[in-house]
Amino acid sequence: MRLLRTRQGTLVAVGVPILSVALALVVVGVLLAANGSDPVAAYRSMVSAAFGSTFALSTTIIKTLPRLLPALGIALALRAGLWNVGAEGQIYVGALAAAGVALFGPVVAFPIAAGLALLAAAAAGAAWGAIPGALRARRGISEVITSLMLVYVAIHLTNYLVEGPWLASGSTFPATDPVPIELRLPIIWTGTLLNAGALVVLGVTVVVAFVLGRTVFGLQLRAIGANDRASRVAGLSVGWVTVAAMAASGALAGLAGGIEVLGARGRLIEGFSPGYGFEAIAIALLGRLNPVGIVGAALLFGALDSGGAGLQTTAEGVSSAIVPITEGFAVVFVLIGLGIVEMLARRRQARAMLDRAQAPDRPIARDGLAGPVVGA
Amino acid sequence: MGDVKHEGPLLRLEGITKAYPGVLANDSVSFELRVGEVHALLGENGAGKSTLMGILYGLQRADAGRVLFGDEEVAIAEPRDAMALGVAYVQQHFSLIPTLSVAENLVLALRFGGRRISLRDGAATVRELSARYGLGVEPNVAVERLSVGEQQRAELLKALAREPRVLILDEPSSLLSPDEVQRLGTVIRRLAAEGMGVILIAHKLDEVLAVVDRITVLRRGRNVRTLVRAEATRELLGELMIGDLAARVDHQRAPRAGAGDDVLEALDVSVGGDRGQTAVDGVSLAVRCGEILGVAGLQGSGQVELVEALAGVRPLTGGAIRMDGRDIGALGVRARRRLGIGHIPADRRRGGLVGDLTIAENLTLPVAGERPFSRFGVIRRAAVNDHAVELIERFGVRTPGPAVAVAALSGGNQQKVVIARELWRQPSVVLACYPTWGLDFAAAAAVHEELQRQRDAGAAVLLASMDLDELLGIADRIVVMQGGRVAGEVDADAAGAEEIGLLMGGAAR
Repeated sequence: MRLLRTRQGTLVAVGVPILSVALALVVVGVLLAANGSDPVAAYRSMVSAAFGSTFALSTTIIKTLPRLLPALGIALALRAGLWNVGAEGQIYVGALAAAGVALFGPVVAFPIAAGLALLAAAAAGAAWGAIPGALRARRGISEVITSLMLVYVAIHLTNYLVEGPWLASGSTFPATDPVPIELRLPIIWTGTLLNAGALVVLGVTVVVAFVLGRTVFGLQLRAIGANDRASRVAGLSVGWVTVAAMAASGALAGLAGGIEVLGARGRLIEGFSPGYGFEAIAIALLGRLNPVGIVGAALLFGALDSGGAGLQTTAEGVSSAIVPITEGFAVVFVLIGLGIVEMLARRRQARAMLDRAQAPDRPIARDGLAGPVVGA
Repeated sequence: MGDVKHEGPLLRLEGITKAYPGVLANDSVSFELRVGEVHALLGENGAGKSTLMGILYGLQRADAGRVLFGDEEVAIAEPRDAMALGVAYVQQHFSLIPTLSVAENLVLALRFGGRRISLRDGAATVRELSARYGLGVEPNVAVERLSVGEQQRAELLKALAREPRVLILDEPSSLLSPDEVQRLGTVIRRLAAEGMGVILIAHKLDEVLAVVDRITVLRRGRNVRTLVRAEATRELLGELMIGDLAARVDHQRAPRAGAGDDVLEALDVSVGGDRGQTAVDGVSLAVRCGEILGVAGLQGSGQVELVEALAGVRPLTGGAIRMDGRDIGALGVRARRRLGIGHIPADRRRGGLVGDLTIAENLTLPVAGERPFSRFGVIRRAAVNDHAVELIERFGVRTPGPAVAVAALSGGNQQKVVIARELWRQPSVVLACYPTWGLDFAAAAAVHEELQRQRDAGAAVLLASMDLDELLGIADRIVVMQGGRVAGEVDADAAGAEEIGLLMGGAAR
């Protein structure tokens, strides 16, 4: 996890991702040009489809929301040294729970009904995340494998319900009945489709940043992520924090699923997430596990999504496949960039050690000498 | 065993000098190895054995001195040069890849040395060498499924496949059972009989005496003496290794008034180690309030695991731990801390501190959930900061401020942060494991002072150390551990001092 070390200069923290995105755009531009397309025209049509009008801007935000919460969740887990790669599944179980409350829950007035459904979504996501957490804490089973496997359980469970018991009556399109109006998240920006889910996401983002930076749980989580051995010596319950971090991570993804059902989609649809939970991993890395950075990265991915849709209608001969290509390059460049920064830092450190020792020795301590045994 | 073949010297090291900042690790050391000889290099931890062998193997470069093979001076800049000259080094820490088979490890190692052989030939080589020396190593078993003894023989086999002229074995017996040690001894004699020169780095006297032809003793970076097997006795070697221990006792120290009641008791405690071995095997001891109990031992003696078990970091596999008469063996780390146990762990970077967190965060990590440092789970920054500033001042941590990442501090200052975190609340029990390891003189002295201050304030202090000077300097009683057991208990005075060396080396009492 050294690549993701969070304590680096601001210049590095901000500069590397921005430079990486720019570089990705340049590389894709070169590819477009080599293909006989006009990259400038393509980018212009993308920018206009993403930011060119009120509606474009709202579309970008709408497409940002389902990516932002899972990305924050993944970052939270990663700060604790845990790879939650199962956000996609947690999105689906969250959506299932929200739809379940909408279809079968008590009939109550709007804010309470919607609130209940969102709580259920978060709880379902938390449970889905806690399973790999508990397996890791109790049995040492890799959370990477188990959280990923649970994705498929969640997707197929959704497919089964939506195609069978929960299928809207008289319909063949695999989706439930629309969510009753008491649960629908209302439009908050007239003339657009932006719903109150945006406010929920905004609020939760602030809470996540606060929890990470200012609470005991956040401190314990970061401590365990950086050095679990020392954390155990200090009396922290590594197992408990592991489960809690994975549950919190899953809750955020589940909430995102619930917001999609009550908001943008208005019902539970089979395959409604085109892989938000997987894209969120890239977003978390691009945003350097920092809440502010992640908001920026999620916005970028949202803009690329809405811009890519614009491409298909305006720029001729340019495939919207350039969107995932650009995203991929951006993440790869960030990782390379951070690798280079780390390498330079280590080299600088080595040189400093060398100067201090004023000896012709090799600078970096060998593994065999790293323990408390000086074999001098 | 006594009939040494007096052929010419195979290898000579002359006037090797190597300085590290603050330490002269080798001070004009000379060493000679003959063809077909098993030559032990003996000394305490820190005597300069590993440095000398590191220079021979190209891991370090000497500041002065020459290395001669036969009569020819050679330059060894890196391990490849040493390998090319026919030197093989079996280090204490295994360099096998656990998920690969023995044969695969062998093929990889040879490839690193510039020789390419097929996996099939590798397996054949393993079988052949294993049969020839009675190593009992199967080629196609994954290394992680081997016992520690088998892993060591696999490591040895890997070295032998290079057909070395000089074989260096670093503490080969430290992890082995008595049977395995004997078996290894047979292999070593066999190798020597075939004309190989074997250098044995060791500190267990009995084992050394069973296989060697000659012994060179180092102490504090210097040659003390080289003697042949016939003149060596355990007593003589112990004395040569450790020197005049009585002179190291601090006679200025005021005699301790009788210490108080037993505060922390270990009753027949057994603990497992990281490699699945039994690291602590039925240890009983008691620490009284107002005393420093030293636990002496060499690396691998079980000190680290014992301290971790007392602190609650490592589970017991047997026995009980009592504090003030109450059984605390089942309690977790946090509960034991609440009862008043402070723990300075063996390795401050890996086990003590979280390098990426700030000094203030590290100082409050164990108590972050308590008032005044947090309220309803929310950290109160002002309280955390004030606490850090106070401890930085009180324990003399040199830092620009409490918001600095701990990783940026020097070793001595990192250790001060650990000590501040563990001792600020005046714990009734202090467990300190290698607390001065890697510190310079001034920093070490500050740690000793703090431990003595805790004792004088009535704490029961347990100090585990490999450094006899440290133990004789500040401990009131000393328990010696060897091979996971208590080998004996001595007073920290001139008479007791003489026994320690023997006990540490594994002599029966």
